[in-house]
Amino acid sequence: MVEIQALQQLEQKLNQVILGKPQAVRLALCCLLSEGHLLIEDLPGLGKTTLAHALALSLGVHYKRVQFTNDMLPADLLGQSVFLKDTQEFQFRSGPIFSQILLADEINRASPRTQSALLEAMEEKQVSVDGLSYPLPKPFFVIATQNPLFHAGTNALPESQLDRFLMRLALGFPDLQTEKLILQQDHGQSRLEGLLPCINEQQLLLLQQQVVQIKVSDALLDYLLALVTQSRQQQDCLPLSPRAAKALLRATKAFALLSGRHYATAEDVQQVFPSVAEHRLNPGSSRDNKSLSLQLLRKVPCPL
Amino acid sequence: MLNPAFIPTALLVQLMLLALLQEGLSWWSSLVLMGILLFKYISFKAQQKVRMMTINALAVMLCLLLLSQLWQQDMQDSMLQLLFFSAALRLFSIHSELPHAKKLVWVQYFLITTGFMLNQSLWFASAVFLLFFCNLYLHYLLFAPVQQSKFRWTDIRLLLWVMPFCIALFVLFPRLPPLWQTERQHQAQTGLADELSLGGLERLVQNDSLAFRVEFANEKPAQHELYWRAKVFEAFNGQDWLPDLQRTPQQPVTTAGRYQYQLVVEPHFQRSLFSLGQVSQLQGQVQTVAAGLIESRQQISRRFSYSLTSNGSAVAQQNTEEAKRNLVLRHSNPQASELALQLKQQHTTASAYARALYQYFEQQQFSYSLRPPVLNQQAQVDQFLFQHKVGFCGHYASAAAYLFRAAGIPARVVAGYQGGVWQTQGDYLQVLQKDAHAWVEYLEDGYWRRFDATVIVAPLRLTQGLSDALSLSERQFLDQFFQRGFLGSWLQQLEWLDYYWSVWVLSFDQTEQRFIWHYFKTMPWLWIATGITTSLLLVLIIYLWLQRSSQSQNVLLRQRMLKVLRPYGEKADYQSMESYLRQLTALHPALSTELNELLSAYQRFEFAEQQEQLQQCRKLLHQLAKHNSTVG
Repeated sequence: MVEIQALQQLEQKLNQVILGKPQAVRLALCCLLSEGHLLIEDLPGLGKTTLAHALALSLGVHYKRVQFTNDMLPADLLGQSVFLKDTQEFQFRSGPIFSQILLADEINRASPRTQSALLEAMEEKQVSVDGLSYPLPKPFFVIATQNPLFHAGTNALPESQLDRFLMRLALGFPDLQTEKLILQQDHGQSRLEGLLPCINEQQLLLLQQQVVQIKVSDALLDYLLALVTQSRQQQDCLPLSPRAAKALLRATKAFALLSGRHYATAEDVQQVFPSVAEHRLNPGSSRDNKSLSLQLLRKVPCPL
Repeated sequence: MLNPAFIPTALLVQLMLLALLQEGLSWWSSLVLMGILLFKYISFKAQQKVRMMTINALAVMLCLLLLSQLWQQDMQDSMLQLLFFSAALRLFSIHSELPHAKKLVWVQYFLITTGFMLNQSLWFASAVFLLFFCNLYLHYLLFAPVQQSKFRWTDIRLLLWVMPFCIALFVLFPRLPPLWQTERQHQAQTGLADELSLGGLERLVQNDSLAFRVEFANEKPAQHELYWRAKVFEAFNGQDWLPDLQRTPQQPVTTAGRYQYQLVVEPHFQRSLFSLGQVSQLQGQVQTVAAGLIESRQQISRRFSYSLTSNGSAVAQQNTEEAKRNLVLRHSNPQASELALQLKQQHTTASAYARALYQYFEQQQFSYSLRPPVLNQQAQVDQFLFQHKVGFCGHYASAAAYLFRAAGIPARVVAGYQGGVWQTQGDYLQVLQKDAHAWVEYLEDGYWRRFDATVIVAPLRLTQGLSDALSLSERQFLDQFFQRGFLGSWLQQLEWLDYYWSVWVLSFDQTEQRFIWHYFKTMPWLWIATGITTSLLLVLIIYLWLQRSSQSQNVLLRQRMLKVLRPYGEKADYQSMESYLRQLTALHPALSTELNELLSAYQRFEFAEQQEQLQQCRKLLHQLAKHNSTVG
């Protein structure tokens, strides 16, 4: 169980960088452990990019950052085939997507075309260029950030593409004390500097395997399904798909692992549910609005 | 955590109880109770907590007050007041304590039931049932979640489910005799006074309340034969007629009778019962005593029902003693004695003498009045017979009995009721207090023949009841209320319902149970139907039981947890057990060790499926339950 300890250490370190947001940090890690992609949505300046950077840095894996703009083309992301004069043949020059963690900053600024190129890669875990498939490295993890939809120059991600993200997180404003602390500790250098990786690639893969083995009791599955079923009976939201149910289960398991348990509990489900479900129930909502998923949680009795 | 709707509802229930039990409460206790309830309402609105000291002081004061009043009132009423005081003070002290509220609900159930000691009519019973349901709702509030204060459909369905069982219990549960009884000191307000003076029935005649009701099985006697015997007076002291009966129970003569009838008697707090002529068979808790009368084995303090068979003939003489006793004349009325001797010389046989007396009353211009002139102490019979010649049944019976005895014919005064009103709706006879009557029985050839001088004086009194014997204006006044119009028929319907309530529900006893049993035995198809129903029910019960036992340990454990932990705080439906336990830990820091241990054991058992943790859970729950009971 060296990995678990390392994981806890990792969480601790992240909390030293992202102050006052332990829940968001844990959920972000949870998303990563369950091999899902993470969408962080919030106003500029709340620490989206810092969180994404910190995650990438501390995991000790190869990462790249892409700033999305509206004139960006899919080839800028995926890479392209280049004709080499010497050998008289095409060679594939891989784009920034070929990394273990991709930071996609302001993903909703890109054109729909580029967005879908990225999202296809996220689902397939491979890239097809000129009829040839290039597998992406393992683990492959996209942390996308986006500004709220009402901001100028944004293209909303369609429902089907939002669904590819396991979780959508919002950081929200820090509380007064935390903000004061942030100001006090501002010494002109980024908090990210000096952040060293806590786990290596092997350990991450091992942890991801452990997530799969977390025990989920039959009654707990019933509860999870009751939540999903309830969403299908409600009029005011989109129904949760089986894919969403799978995502919910994986996130639950990862959350249990993060709590140092080898079994998942009902509380785990309830903790991850808003982040996993809200953007699927209500794609139009933004930021910290979790009202629909919380309503749904309140409607389903939990005997466990 | 008490449901916020609890206290207002409890206040309402107690207010209704106050109205219901008014009859058993003295005026001062009603006032005190009103005061307590009002004060509680005000402090509840202001959200103030009343100090326990105040309540205890109040309780001691009320106890002393009750003790000081104990000699003046009925024991039963005092006990009722004590119980009511304790309930009201308990409500007073409740702020949000669940165990206290539970006790209160149970005491209120008890109080509601005591209502049946005061009254058993259908209307009262409906009020009792209404109150019972209010209290049931109160009971429900104890266990309903805080946000939920309305009855849900499932709860109502549950009540409906219970109904058949209630009815089955009512029909099948053995009727046990009362474990203890208190004699109530009530003034007899009927025609059943222990003595009959010359103006004795006066008070009753204006009384419209119900005395008893009769239903005849087959043949109905004619109106002029409806002489309901209740008391026999054999000793005359010059003013009053007194009973001179040994209360020796006698063997009933069991012969076939003409009239089969069932009576439902209103409580009159005596043992006397009513019968027509010679009784040949009886059923229920009744016995025959001397002079062919019927008595209950206990004081009639609630509605009482019994069945009789009479052959309608005169009552037989029991022994020679009886004849001798009924000849005694200690006080002289010289004029009357002289008249008796004169008539006796002309008419030798008793029946001829009786006819002569009838004639005498007819010829001498006697008249019937409910307000006769007051008689002096001396020679009252003479005064009545020769001076005033105005009176009602008591006067005529008294005088006639004297005249018989003076002529050497054994005679006695009988009191009871005469006639009654036939209710067309239910085909039963209703006898009111105003039908009280007195007449004479004289002995001839071993039988006690009836002699009723009132027949001669006021024939209508006999054939059509009192109202026809009264003046026109009085009659119109009565008619206005009881005979005509919508209200009249409506009242009759209600009376009818109340009658059958008495017959079918109140008087349902061992005899009826046995009857049902016998009826049952003669019907093979009923047997089969019951067998099938019972076995189906059994199968259903076994099925449900198996279902329950096949329910996983997990479900049972969860139910147990909820039950044990409820007193510490309410769990919302959507809340997970973990967040619930954490919430409890925050509420009760003293229990945090136990609660945290319980949480971890529960999680391991429920989610990690470690069966061995079940034991630990149970142990912790047991501790918590014990802790709760010591605190509560």
